Amino acid sequence: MNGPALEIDSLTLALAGEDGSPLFPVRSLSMRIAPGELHALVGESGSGKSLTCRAILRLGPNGMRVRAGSIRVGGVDVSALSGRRLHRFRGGRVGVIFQEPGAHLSPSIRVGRQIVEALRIHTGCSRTEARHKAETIAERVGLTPARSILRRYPHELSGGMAQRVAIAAAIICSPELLVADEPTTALDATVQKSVLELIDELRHDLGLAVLLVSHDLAVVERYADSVTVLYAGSVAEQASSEEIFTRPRHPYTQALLRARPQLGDIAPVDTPPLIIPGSPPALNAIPGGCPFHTRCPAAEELCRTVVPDLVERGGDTGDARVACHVATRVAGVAHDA
Amino acid sequence: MKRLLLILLITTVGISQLLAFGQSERDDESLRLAMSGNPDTLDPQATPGTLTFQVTRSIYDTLVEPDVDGEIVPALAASWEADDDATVWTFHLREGVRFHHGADLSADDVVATFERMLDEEFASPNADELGPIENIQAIDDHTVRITLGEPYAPLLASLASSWSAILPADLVEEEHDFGAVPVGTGPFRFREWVQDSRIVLDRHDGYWMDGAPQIGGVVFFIIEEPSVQLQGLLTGDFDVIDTVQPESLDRVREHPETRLDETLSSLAMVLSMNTRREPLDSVDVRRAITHAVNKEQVLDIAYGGGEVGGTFMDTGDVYHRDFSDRYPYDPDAARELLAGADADVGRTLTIAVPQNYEAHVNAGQLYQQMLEDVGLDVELKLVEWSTWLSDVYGDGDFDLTVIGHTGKLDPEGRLGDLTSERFYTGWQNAEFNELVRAARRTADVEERQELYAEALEILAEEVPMVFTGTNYRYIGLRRHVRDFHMDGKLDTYDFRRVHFLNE
Amino acid sequence: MVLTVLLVVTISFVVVRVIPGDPAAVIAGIDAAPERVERIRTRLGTDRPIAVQYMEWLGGLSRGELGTSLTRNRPVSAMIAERLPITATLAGSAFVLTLLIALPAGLLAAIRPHGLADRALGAFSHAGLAIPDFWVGIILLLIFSVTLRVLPLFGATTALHYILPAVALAVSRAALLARVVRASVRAELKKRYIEGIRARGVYGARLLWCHVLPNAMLPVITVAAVQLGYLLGGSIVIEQVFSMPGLGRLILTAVFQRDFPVVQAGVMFIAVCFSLINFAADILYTIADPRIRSAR
Ligand SMILES: Nc1ncnc2c1ncn2[C@@H]1O[C@H](COP(=O)(O)OP(=O)(O)OP(=O)(O)O)[C@@H](O)[C@H]1O
Ligand SMILES: [Mg+2]
Repeated sequence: MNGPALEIDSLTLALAGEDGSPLFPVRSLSMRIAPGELHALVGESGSGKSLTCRAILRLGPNGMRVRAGSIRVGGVDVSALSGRRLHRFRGGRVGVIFQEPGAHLSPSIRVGRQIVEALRIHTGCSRTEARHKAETIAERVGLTPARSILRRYPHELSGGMAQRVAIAAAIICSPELLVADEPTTALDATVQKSVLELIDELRHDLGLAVLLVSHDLAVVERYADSVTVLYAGSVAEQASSEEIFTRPRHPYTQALLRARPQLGDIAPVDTPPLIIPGSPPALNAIPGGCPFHTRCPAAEELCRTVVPDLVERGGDTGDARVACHVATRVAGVAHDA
Repeated sequence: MKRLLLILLITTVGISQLLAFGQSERDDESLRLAMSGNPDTLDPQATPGTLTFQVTRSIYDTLVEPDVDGEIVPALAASWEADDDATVWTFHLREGVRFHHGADLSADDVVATFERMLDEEFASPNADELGPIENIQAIDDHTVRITLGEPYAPLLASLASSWSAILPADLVEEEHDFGAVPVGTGPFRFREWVQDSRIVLDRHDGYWMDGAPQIGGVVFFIIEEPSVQLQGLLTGDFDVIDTVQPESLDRVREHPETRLDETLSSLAMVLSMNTRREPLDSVDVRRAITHAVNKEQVLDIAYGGGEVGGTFMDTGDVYHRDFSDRYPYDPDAARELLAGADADVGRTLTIAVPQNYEAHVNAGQLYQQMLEDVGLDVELKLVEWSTWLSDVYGDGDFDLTVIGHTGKLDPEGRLGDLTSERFYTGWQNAEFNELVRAARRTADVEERQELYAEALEILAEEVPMVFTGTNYRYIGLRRHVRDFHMDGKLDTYDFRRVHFLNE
Repeated sequence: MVLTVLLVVTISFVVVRVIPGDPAAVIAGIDAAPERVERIRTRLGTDRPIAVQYMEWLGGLSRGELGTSLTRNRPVSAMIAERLPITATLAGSAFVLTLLIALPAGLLAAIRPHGLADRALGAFSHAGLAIPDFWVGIILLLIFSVTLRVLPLFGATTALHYILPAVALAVSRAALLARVVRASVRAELKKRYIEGIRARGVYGARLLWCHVLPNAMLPVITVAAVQLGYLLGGSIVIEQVFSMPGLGRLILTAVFQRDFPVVQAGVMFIAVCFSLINFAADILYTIADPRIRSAR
């Protein structure tokens, strides 16, 4: 495949606030993910990660609309889809898994049926064919013995197994993109790792593009090819994983990295993890200028008044962009104000 | 879409077939009658129930029967005679009468019939109606002799009543279930009874009466809802309906295809008083209560119209005497009497009303209002019918109660009850009892009439009940039904002369 | 189990006897002399001590006999057998009709709250719950049997006879059940798994019938089971309006006449029906919700 699997261009999402005035939980977000690439979306709670995922699937909460920009999956404009084509798109070209897999499976239906449901309704394949396919894919995602597990109900599965079921259901129609919104947050550490390993394998084997939302920077560092750091709905920094973790430019990214628990014996045991002081702004009170300036240790006058553009920041590997007046100036990158 | 069309098609075909079915039934020569309830049994000896008699009257015959004017005329007995003191009665049976199952009528059948009814173990609720019978014997094949212990004038009337239906001796012998499959000599033979649905009778071709019956049969449909009865009559589903509610009378009268048969019933509608209890033991209080009641209004509003009464006799009876002017509607007189009465009239009086009889409930409300108008404290209590029968009627546990007493062909049937000390009103009068007892033994009609007139006057003066009057019995009919006859006294139908006018 | 049966049997025996009223008085009627009533009582055997009657009845039951009707002098079992098909057909078709109305109506209303379907259901259920079955029956009779003359006025001989009574019985029950369906589906639609299913491209009718409805069934089954029980009661009135010779009318008449064996058998029969319905509902629960199944 030549083009990107996912291509988001200057996406601005609008929601109706409680008083009816529009809120913009995501603003001017762009990203592209190539087939086989694993892209991580990070940011504090409420920064708009899940809304972005929902926008890709057109499964937004009631009242959410695309205010500007576009989303393309495999070159197809998502917002142009309607009716049957939209439904076929959902199960067929994009697969999705969520935080609590059990909560996303119908409680009264055997998991085997749920795994192949998309296949059955989108491709109209026969029952036996579907069962066969389900067994194959179940084994592929590590659900063994497949036959007996497929006959179970969601409540009879452990969290890790349920997430494997969700993954199987998400990829059964061979989609180009897998959206994984915090797929492992609810699982314990060892299970978490095996699920991520599975996703990682699948994207290599199947050439699957993955959008991974995660709070866990260690996970991101380990698995992601590229990263978008979101703050209060807008991109703070976007670069390859290596750039982000070795040369973070945005003060917010730097703060995030400092705030994460250190692994092993690298950190002195008695050093508490650094916490970013303050909390992210409410949607209806996003400050003017740089949204981060209220919490930014490096903020200047300019930051308070002018919204920083996302500009090339220069990097050793591929594209790297940052939205910070200070960082841009320090790096000596020119920008047209 | 195709499926929808198919459903429509099926529905249309179904409906048109139904209509065709309805059409073909109209040619049937059976009379279709809507009856307001399911009889308990079709054994005329096992119940005093009117519903039973209304059916069995067409299946069975009696030795004698009342004619249109209430005169007793021959039926299965072609003739009869009594000895001088009316204790030995001889009946000569009609020749050539045949039961539905093929046997010929003989004297043995008559004997077997009455022996069954008088059998203590069988415990027929009608046994007492026959009076002091000592002996019944077959003199020959077609002659029966009934011997009485003492003169009993009401005998003929009792033999003409529905419970005296003659059953075939052979089936009595083998304890046949007459309640389910009745077999008689009557104008119609029993075909089937679907419980709570219908009773079907076919014409009995060998019936003894010339030219009867004329119709092919009778179907009694059991239809409890008066409104369904009415609609069925108007649409032609029924030829006759046995219930027409007061508010529907005009519709039946005015509809071009229906008419109303209006017969004076045999009921004496009363507001009974428990004379064992204070203050109803005072005759002044009872008279005051009688003064307080506007009888005409009660009859009109609650019972759909009728004739005002003044004593314990239905107003159409030959023995009836009009005493309605003795204590007429006069609230002032009532108040005056109450003021002067030496009894505690301040007590709350309860009117017990059988709740499943809408007419009685309505009447109860009117009575309550009228008695409160003259200053009495009255409350209404609805009781279920079987409770009414056991508590009020059986045990005499009540103050006041609303009921209609059915009449018999003979006044003894009504007045004899009052001579019993256990009668529910508790009222006793030696002179009255003597008069009724004497009348029972008197064969001479004029003499009896005089005795009863005196007895009825005592009641009119003593008023153990407010004798409100007698209502009309309304039957709704299609106009093409001709020569339909309802016996108001027995509350039964005679279909023998019924025929349809060609439409 | 044996204890339950004995309890039901005993209660049905006691209940019919503590209410006032005497079958002999009913049979004798208003003109009979008191001595006559006593003789009838002797014939019926209702003058014997209660304990003797009770033991005798138990004895009969243990041999599978329900006794003989006091007023109609027929075996009670035959009387019930003759009526049962009619009431069963009536209640059964009314129940099916209830489901056929309530499930789609509740679903439609739930999909779009305050939409046209929802408001229509609101009006229907208000009316359905406010108007007694009896009146619905009379109105239907007037429209279809009297004015249009397309359906029979009385009886229970053909399938056509069951249409109106079944509708009359179904209306109020469907009104209530549709509300339950609506509420339950609404609650289900808010649950998070719906999102997961929709994300797989499942939509529309399939989403509702295959996922939402089965999961929303538990409260619906509970209410429907209760309603099926009450259908038996409702059919008493409806059988009367439509002149159908069903079980309800048999029992009602028997109660009025104090026909003890028939009432006892009727009470027992209803108790058995109720427990069968509950049993069926329990089974349905486990079918509808696998979590209950595995909890056992
Ligand atoms: N249905 C909704 N109506 C109004 N506001 C919403 C709705 N859903 C989300 N939001 C708001 O939009 C913003 C972004 O929400 P989103 O769920 O995308 O956050 P997130 O980055 O996924 O956070 P988390 O890490 O907690 O999952 C938040 O401020 C949230 O309060
Ligand atoms: Mg989220």
